[in-house]
Amino acid sequence: MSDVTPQTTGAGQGDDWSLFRNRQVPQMVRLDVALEHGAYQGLKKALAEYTPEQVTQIVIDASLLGRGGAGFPAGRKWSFIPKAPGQKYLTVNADESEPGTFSNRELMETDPHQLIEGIALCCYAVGISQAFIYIRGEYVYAADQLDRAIAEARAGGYLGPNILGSDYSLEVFVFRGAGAYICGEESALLESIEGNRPMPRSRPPFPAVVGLYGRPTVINNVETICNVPRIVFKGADWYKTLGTPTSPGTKVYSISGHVRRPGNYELPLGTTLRELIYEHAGGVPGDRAVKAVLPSGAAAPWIPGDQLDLPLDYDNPKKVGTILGSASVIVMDETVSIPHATLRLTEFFRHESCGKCTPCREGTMWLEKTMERICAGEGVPGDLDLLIDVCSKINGRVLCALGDFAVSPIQSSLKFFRHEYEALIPGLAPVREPELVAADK
Amino acid sequence: MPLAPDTIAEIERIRAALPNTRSALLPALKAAQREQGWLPRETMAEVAERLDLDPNAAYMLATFYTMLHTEPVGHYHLEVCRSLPCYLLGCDAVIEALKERLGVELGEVSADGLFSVQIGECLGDCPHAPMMRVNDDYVGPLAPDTIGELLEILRARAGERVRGLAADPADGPPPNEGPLHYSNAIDARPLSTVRE
Repeated sequence: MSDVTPQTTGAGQGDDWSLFRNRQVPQMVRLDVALEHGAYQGLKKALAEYTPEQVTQIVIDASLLGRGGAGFPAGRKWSFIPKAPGQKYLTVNADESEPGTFSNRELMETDPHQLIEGIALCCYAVGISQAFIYIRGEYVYAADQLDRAIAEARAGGYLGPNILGSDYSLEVFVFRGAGAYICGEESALLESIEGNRPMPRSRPPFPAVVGLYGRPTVINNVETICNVPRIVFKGADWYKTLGTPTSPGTKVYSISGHVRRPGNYELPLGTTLRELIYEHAGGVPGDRAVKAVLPSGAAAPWIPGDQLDLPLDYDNPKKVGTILGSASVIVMDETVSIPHATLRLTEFFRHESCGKCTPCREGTMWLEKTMERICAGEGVPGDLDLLIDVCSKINGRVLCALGDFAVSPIQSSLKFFRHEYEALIPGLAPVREPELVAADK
Repeated sequence: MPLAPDTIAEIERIRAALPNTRSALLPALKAAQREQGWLPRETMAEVAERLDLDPNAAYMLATFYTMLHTEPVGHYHLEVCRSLPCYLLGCDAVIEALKERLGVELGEVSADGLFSVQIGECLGDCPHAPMMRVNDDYVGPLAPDTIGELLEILRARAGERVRGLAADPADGPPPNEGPLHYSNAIDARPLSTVRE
């Protein structure tokens, strides 16, 4: 079925601005190799020419939106940190556990110094002397690369005390997780670093005020931070030539599932699903029709196969009731049984519910049980209403977004593919609706 | 089994590098597991004690995280991804083939002590779906009809260094062979697969 072949993929691959410009360079973990390929130019420029406030302003002007999923403006997040002296922290979220998401891993494995430079710039801008990279435990190789790159950067004067001869100092610690989706939730992530069970905190207070060890803390995603060096080096005006007016820049789209060339594609924000699937990812094997697309892993509401002209930016997905999120696109072709795929997603959320909030802990269990019996052909006519009812009692009644994510596959699949559920439940007359995939053939 | 001097030194190094002792608990448990393969109660207690923490603090973490093992695992711990992208590419058949070939249920260790199988959630290697984690390394794509051959290759290599068990983490993965494709740790190779 598969033929593993290295692919040169994605627009921006050969461009000097791409986050993946050094993807094919061997040994990018070495400082000398990284410097040959332009690493730390943004940091040098910032320390020589800009005050910390100016660096923050450049990032605000670039309208860099958080790439981890929430899309919050990064520069504004930085500006919320109190200016008063005292310990503050940066925590880079490299937990990347959303099903179908693998962009941060490739960014860290192929160009660790790009992330480190971004960290140094963020910490300079905000006045932070201690940063953490919280990386999921399974990413052993990426974490090893980061550890080695940090050691070399420190020895070279790009981290540590008095960076590049300035009075700015920074230490970076790679904190490795141990397998838990919930650690991608920012307050659970902080609990994990503090050595507690990673369960989300009640907010407010927000981490910008009371974060790691009770101190003001910036939490940004890997890809967000990786964008900072090129923004600082080339300027906000340049950055805004990429993407759309309200979603400037590029996004790394991770595409998986039923496509010929799954992988990471860095493309301007606003690229349509159709272009991503057919031009970049090579289309669907066997030229089968797309039944549905999950635009952001397991978490986001689905896009049916007849809406592939949707531009993937921060605004347009909202118009059809979903989000760009982490842009981890999972494609399902016409052969997929929607209830069975939904069961798999429901099992994921049941497994990963941390257990703190009752609606999520108990609700995901009951959703899974109900989905299991429907898929086994043992559902009863009231089950679909039961699913909707349980979903409504989780959504919005829990401390973190995981509970809300957990209901989205069931709500989406029932919205678009209710007939597939009905066909599985004895006693429910299958009501055929128009084939949603027809328009895409 | 008390912790080895190297592990104790590693725990002290971690403790010194972090602003807060309790933060050292998770990395210290991982260091202990790297040495011993899993975390018996006594090991958890020793780790906690070395950090001046209650043993329950260690137990709370060991029972939460999937990568911390409170029961023995095989020389090779196989965590097979069952999340949606791997499901769409046939992971269920791979999991069945593994269980059948090894004669184990999920969570059990094979009779020779070499393999344990567990299902896991998305490991972030979807271009190589269906895939699994073999200790510290990612292996994929997998196919049910080549699982037997893949296990034989791993079995033949069992005497060699295994990443994830007292091996130098800076080492790369072992070489590919037959259906055994290590999909991580290859410099400058984009995460991509071509499917037809």
